[in-house]
Amino acid sequence: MNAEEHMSRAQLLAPELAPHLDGSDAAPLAVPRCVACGTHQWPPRPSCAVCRSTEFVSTPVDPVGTIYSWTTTHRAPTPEFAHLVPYTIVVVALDEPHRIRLLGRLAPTNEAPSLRVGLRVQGTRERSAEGVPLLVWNIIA
Amino acid sequence: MSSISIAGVGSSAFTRASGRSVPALAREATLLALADAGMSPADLGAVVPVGGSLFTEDVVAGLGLRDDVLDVLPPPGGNGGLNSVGAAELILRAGAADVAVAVFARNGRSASRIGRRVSDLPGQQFREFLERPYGWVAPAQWYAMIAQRHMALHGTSTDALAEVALTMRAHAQLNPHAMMFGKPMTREHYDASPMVSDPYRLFDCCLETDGAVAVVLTSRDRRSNPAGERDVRLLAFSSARPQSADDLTNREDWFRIGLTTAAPAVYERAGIGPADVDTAMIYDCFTFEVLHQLEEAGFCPRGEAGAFVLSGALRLGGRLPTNTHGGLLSEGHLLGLSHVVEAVRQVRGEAGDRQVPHARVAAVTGWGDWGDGSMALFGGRGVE
Repeated sequence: MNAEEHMSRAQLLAPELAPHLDGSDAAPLAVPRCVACGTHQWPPRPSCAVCRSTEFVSTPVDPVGTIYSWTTTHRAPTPEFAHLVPYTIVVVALDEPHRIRLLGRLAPTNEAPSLRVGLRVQGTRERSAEGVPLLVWNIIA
Repeated sequence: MSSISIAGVGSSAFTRASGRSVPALAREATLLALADAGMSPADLGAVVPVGGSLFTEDVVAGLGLRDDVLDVLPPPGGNGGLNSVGAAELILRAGAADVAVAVFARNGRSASRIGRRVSDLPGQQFREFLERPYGWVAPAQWYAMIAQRHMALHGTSTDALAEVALTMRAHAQLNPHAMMFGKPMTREHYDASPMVSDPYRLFDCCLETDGAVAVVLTSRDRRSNPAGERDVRLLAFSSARPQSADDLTNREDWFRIGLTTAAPAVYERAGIGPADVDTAMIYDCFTFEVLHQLEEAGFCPRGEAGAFVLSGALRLGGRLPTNTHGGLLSEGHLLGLSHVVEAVRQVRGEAGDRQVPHARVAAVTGWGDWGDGSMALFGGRGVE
């Protein structure tokens, strides 16, 4: 699936999500913020998990945080990922005040035996070979 | 309120390639369970097939419903097995039938492997657009993420994961029905098994199985049943979901799962506590999920499951003999309904070489997609 097909499928199946899958590499990372109570919400849902209101505004966030958890996959779950193994997926807790966690891939150059929960990471936007936008995380000092 | 009993249980052979249709497998297991109950198909007033595609989780997330809101169809993931027993109980308690069967059949090895079945789970919009692009698509990878955090926070070790796998395999050596009967495992075998998704090696992962399991429940009085003396009481059942049931990543507390809500409810309804449980059948899709559920079911404090299992607690003769049939890891994977069969055999005293002496109360847990959880307590003769 190429980037255009990916986006049009997202707009069709998950309209709340689509604006946040923006393919523009230069765009800041943005997440929905509830207009009524101010909570940043991730993943995007039709209503706010805190106050149930349905109005959101897209708000830029700084892609810096800590590794909340991780796993390195050695055996491809399906053939489409066979060319990537081994690869590390991280859940990153963004710094306050957002309190949201984002999934992403750790940049391959970061893979080390010292990989652990709590490491500081910075996210950058990249594209898969098919042009699908991705978040890739790098360990920072 | 009338009491509800398990009158009969039955299973087909558990194999890698059944060569039979799913309806044929379901028929065999159901007929065996009815025979075990001293009943015939004419006795059956209700059927609860495990399966379906109703995503209660999606509704719960959208409306902010209670974690333990009731639903009548079993959920699509692994929690559906035990929930079929819960749904049958509801039907019987409502008086809509007096005999019901909970039944599951699947050619889970030869036809519909797990990699394809995950597309039947809730929250597909998150799966497809937020997770699949990173290659985070398989249960082994989701739950490895929870295990890794538990290991970081509580010092839970690979040794503890290995002990779960080795215990299940040792129990399977006492169960001729188990797929891994006659195939013992050593620690060296475990350590040599390939890494799937850190910390999970191949032998931390459950089997995939062709087969069927059926459980016949009844509200009939023991005395009016031909085989009623062997009836096993369903003492209590409860099921719940974690917060953010269709998404793991942003759940406030990763260790607070459906079972965290369901277990206290079950103990309260049954009027007993975890210390009264003689044997447990814990949904063991992966080794860490056993540790996680032991904590949330109250068998040990949170963070201490590693030490608990390393004490030998799960082995026959230990403090809480667990998955005495070999579990999903070594007997076979029919969505955990086989855990109910083993619980029934244990409290009936019919577990043969793997019998837990004087087992009167058995606990069974269910676990599905990112932490849906349920628990049932079963009581043998004299336990009401």
